[in-house]
Amino acid sequence: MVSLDATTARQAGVTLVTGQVTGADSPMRVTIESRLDGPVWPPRRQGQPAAGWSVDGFEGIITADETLAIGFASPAEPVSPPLEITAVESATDAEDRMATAAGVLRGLGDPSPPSVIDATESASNGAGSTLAAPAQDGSDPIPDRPATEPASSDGGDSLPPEIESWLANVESRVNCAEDLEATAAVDRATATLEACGGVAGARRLDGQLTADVAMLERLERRVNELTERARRGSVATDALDRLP
Amino acid sequence: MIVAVAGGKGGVGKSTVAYNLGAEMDAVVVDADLGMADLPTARGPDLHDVLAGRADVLEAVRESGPVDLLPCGRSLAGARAADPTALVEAIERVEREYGHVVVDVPAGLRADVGLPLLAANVVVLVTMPEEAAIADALRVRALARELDGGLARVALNRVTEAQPVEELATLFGAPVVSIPESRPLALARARGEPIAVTAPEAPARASIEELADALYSCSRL
Repeated sequence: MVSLDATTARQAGVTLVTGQVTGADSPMRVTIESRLDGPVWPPRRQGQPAAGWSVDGFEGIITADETLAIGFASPAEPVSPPLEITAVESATDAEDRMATAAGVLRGLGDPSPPSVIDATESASNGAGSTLAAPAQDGSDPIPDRPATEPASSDGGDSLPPEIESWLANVESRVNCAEDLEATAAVDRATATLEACGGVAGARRLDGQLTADVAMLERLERRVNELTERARRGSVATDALDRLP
Repeated sequence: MIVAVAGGKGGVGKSTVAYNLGAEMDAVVVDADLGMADLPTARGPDLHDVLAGRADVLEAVRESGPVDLLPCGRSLAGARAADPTALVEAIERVEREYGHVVVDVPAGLRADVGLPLLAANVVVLVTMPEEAAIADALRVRALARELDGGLARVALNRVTEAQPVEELATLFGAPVVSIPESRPLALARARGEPIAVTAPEAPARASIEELADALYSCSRL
């Protein structure tokens, strides 16, 4: 006989729910649903809900004498009990984990290139620069708001175009993150999301920003060091004039 | 029919086989190499735009060249904005509209390989007569099996001297078609045209035809 023990904990406005399913004497497929009056925030792998999770709860296999442990979060208030088993059936062997596109992505990993490549290629002059200046071919994930505010507005001394382009990309990502944070109302969130490259774009934004911060810090150190050396290293042109 | 042309290792000739197979089958060739597009490209919406929800997949199919092509963008930002899971639906939609689709699958074993294999009815594995290429192709073979992508043929590319292929066929569990090392095929590739147009009498063309015939017979099953 399959049984379920569940606990809840409320922390920072979020209810954390855990459940332990035990007591199967043969492999069983169990469906567990949340009784909370609010959305289920499932654990994620590679940005996708982990295998077995849906908007209602979890569906998975418990094998004989095993404990199946699950946990999720929700903004809803705790209720008792927070979980219920809504279906138990005998499990077949043919459990197909990679039968959907999301399942494949979960199983094999997101193939998208890491954002740090973008910055590296921008920083090095030459061959990679067309790849790293996506605004030119119109396929930048984030529309061109920052491009309308070039550095030339502050006195006319613009930066080299590749650096400018990279900074514009970073700026657009920062703008998006700020906009998304500011847009709590759902009706306006859709427009903001769209401007930030959709749900997929927004999900990647977080990782990109971390990489951006790291790259900006490296850039800052490099700039400081070079500024220092450039100031010290004046060329003695008088001496050169005297060369035969 | 959706044909995935995969191989695991880079540089074994997947794109060349996919492009020429597309020409032979009058199919739309989809360049699914989201990170490093390889096939001829042109201005206009591409697969990155489709996967980011910015363009309809049918708008992105180019019918102007010798082979119908769904090109992929070449910018890294485009690759990052693309939602790879939308690839399956995009490929299926092209199939409904055009009939045959040949997907040029990237190297590796990540989701950008798994998703076309999931969408495909049949898989062609391209490999070369060398150990590393065969080992990688076997890994893709295992993945295709997990994703229910039936292996139709192994294309043994760039064969320089005739060699028995029975052992290889047993290893992969599918018949092997040898494609000879071919200057006409390389030249056709360099010109962005299929060998069916540039050198229809070349032996490599006959291999591509054999591959296409085999796939047609698979689709009739």
